[in-house]
Amino acid sequence: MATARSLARAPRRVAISGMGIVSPIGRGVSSFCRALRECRSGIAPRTLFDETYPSDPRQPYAHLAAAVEDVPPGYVLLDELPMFALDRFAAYAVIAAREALHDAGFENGDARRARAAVIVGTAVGGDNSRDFASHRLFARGQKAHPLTVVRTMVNAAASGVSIAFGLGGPVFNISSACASSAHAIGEAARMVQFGFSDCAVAGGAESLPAYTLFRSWQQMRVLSPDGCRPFAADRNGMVLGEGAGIVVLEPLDVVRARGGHVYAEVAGFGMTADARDWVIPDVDGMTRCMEEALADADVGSEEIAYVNAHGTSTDRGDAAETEALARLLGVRSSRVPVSSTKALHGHALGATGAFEAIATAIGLDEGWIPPMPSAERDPKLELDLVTDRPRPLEGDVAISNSFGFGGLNASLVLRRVPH
Amino acid sequence: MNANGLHVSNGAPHRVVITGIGSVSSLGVGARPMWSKMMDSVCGIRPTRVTSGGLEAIFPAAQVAGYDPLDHFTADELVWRDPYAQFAVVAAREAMADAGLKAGDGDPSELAVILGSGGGGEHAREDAAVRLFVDRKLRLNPVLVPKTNLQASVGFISIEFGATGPSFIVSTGCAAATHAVAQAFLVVRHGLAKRAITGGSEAPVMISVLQAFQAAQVLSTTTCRPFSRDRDGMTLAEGAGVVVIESLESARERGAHIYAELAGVGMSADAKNSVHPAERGPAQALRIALDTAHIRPEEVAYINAHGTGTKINDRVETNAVKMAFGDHARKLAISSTKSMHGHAFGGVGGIELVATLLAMESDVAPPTINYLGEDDDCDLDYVPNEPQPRRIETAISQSFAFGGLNAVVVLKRDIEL
Amino acid sequence: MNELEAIEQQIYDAIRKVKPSLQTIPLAPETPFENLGLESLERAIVVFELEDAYDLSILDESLDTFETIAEARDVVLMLLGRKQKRAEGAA
Repeated sequence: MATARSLARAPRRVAISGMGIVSPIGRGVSSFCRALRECRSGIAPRTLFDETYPSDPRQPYAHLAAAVEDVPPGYVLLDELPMFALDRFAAYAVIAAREALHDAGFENGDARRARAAVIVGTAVGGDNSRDFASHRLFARGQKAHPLTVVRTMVNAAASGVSIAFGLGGPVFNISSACASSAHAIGEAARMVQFGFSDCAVAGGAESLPAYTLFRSWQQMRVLSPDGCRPFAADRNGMVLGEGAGIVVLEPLDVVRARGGHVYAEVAGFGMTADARDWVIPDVDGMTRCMEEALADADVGSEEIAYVNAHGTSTDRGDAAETEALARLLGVRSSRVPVSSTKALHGHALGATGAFEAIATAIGLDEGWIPPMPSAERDPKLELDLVTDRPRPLEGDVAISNSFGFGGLNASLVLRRVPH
Repeated sequence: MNANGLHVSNGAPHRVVITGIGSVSSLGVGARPMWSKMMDSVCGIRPTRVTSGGLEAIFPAAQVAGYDPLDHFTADELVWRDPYAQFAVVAAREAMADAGLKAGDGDPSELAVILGSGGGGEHAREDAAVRLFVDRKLRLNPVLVPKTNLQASVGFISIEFGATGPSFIVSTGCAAATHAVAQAFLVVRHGLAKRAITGGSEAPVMISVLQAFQAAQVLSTTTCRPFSRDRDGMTLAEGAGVVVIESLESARERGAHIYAELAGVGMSADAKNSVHPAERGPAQALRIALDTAHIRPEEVAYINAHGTGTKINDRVETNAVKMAFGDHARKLAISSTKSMHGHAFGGVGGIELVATLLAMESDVAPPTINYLGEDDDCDLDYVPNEPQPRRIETAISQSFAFGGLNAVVVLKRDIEL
Repeated sequence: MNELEAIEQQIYDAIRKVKPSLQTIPLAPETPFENLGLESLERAIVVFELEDAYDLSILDESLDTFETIAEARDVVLMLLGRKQKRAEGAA
């Protein structure tokens, strides 16, 4: 338990001791990794709305998206939460947390669960439940379902995980658009680092926006009609995705003492705001964020062996990130391996940072860099992109970036820990 | 700072103080006008009519009073700003001015913006739903994406004050602002930023939200009577409460007025039920908060309660306070200002923090109004109906949200500088 | 007001809805959108307002690349003509 004494203690090193994932390219970390290694994308044309009530003005429509396949459609009833079926975004979080806790050896009844913190990032929350409620109210004039609040509430994922597994420490949700789960993991790492918590379950969860929001995204002109091609010459927008990624964070020495597996150390975390513009990405904000993360990890830019880029495949975003990397890495910028795994799992908004932290941690642990499908590269962007096949990860330090809509940025520096 | 001039936290904790306050609520625009109404036991809850998409309802709610958006924003700005974001910005402006700070003061990377909100741009969301489901217009306005964006309040404040430090939204429903303040406390305490703008905002008074909470059977049909017999539920409200916190060194350096020290925080989860609270969780959060603040339970003179006015919350909260404070629970004053400003969800923790600070400044505990008399389950001193002068050197503000998420902050006045 | 002018007025209205401060600025067909300080998201909203006003599909046809008000007007005119032809064909 956090005490006045523990708050004054020297900062501790933070390890990732368990991981769990539900993604458009696989449920479970081994499936996810297999797909990464095989460079297999989960992006496909989807029919995104196919319920038709007589009163419903919504029409079925199809769009490119990265959807989770391995969870049955609609609300999800889970063993751990028999009271009621959850909105999908919360269900993804509970399923991923189940895997992560098991992976870290925190079985049912483990005393540590009662004090564990839970921080889940979500940008949007229970959007399917929201649209369902709106339809019920405005199209059918029916009273709201009693579970409307608990299903739509943005903290449903965090609460769901807390209730499902009896995790009673500090529990909350963070929202910072695309940077949400990276912020969640970073903040959780801080709490462990400074002794406010001895164990934190952190990550992100998101379901594909429902009809109303998805169609609005479409109308914003930032979604690609034909693919996610980060840094490519013909990139033309992002592809939305969904799922949940959860990691278990503990003090490194505690995990080592019990002989537990360490995927990677969360060595540094940078968190900045552009304070400039909603939509136009800011090179200064991105650069500073990465510099802060490196400074926090006490690591020089020359030690970076892999960059898991934010790389959403938008024209300006990718250009800005490339410029920021050039500033950060100097002459090395065209030689440091870079990939954006969004090309495979899509941009899952509040869950993406967690997907990418997991991909990066596995990369460090197993020694390979996840590739992205090759595409005609943009000659203006001089990066060493890792394409089609995994490459050996030669080094101990990697950085994972999440630069959110609205100018909120997060960078995580992960470090390989020798066994 | 490391050699590159970037701040590197070395873990040595800084003491954290509050130097500016601001609020927008049904008791008016501005913190001191609100306090003045509280001292007169004014109720900001009244029968409120909302209409949307051909539906209409009249119910007790607390909408912001005396607020004209064009007093604070241009027409161009209002296109993008849902009321929840507007309230946050207005309260933040007041808090920064109160703290004697302007945009550009100090290193921008040392200013964090961490706010709470439960639902963000709900008005924008409801407008879009009416358009689609009632007017049956299939085209969706792209403005919906930024306007419903949960991070909008943080984004606008960070742009207005040029804040480039750690910034995000915490979204734990009824406890969001208190959780946000707790996070901001940790950020400043561990040197990740020198100052933070923190608190929360919410604008949920509309048909869709009303219906959702009615269905959960937690809303009052009369008014908000926390801890009282015959209480029948919570009342929706809108508003924002924002404070400026900074390290003690930073406050001293510039001779800032200090309201109180943010001495400690406690967070916990019930891990039990999505709607109904349990005592263990809030009691644990209270204990952790007291512990991190180095404070004995007997030192606490006043608690600003969560006190939503539901049968269950008020009973469980009373029990949790007894568990954490023992006999002292009967000696301290515990009131719920929600009886006056209503339940503004992700903003209410901020409003309550502002009220608590003003209670400490004036040594007066604000009342729990609409109190009809003692209830079997609630037998503490709830400061019924009239404010109560008492020495308040140490106080607590607590919030317990749906899903069992609890947050507590401890404040200390008369600190050794 | 002839049809061209009516469409132009609709465009002025759409622009002023997104940016009310332009109420007091005279607008003309030659005015480039860039000069009005409309960012990409604001332009997307103008496109939406026009689609909504005329029940047209500008975005899906990738016709939203106009640079001036006159170009926008011509796109709308063209799409309205197409729509009318389809309706006549069906009749």
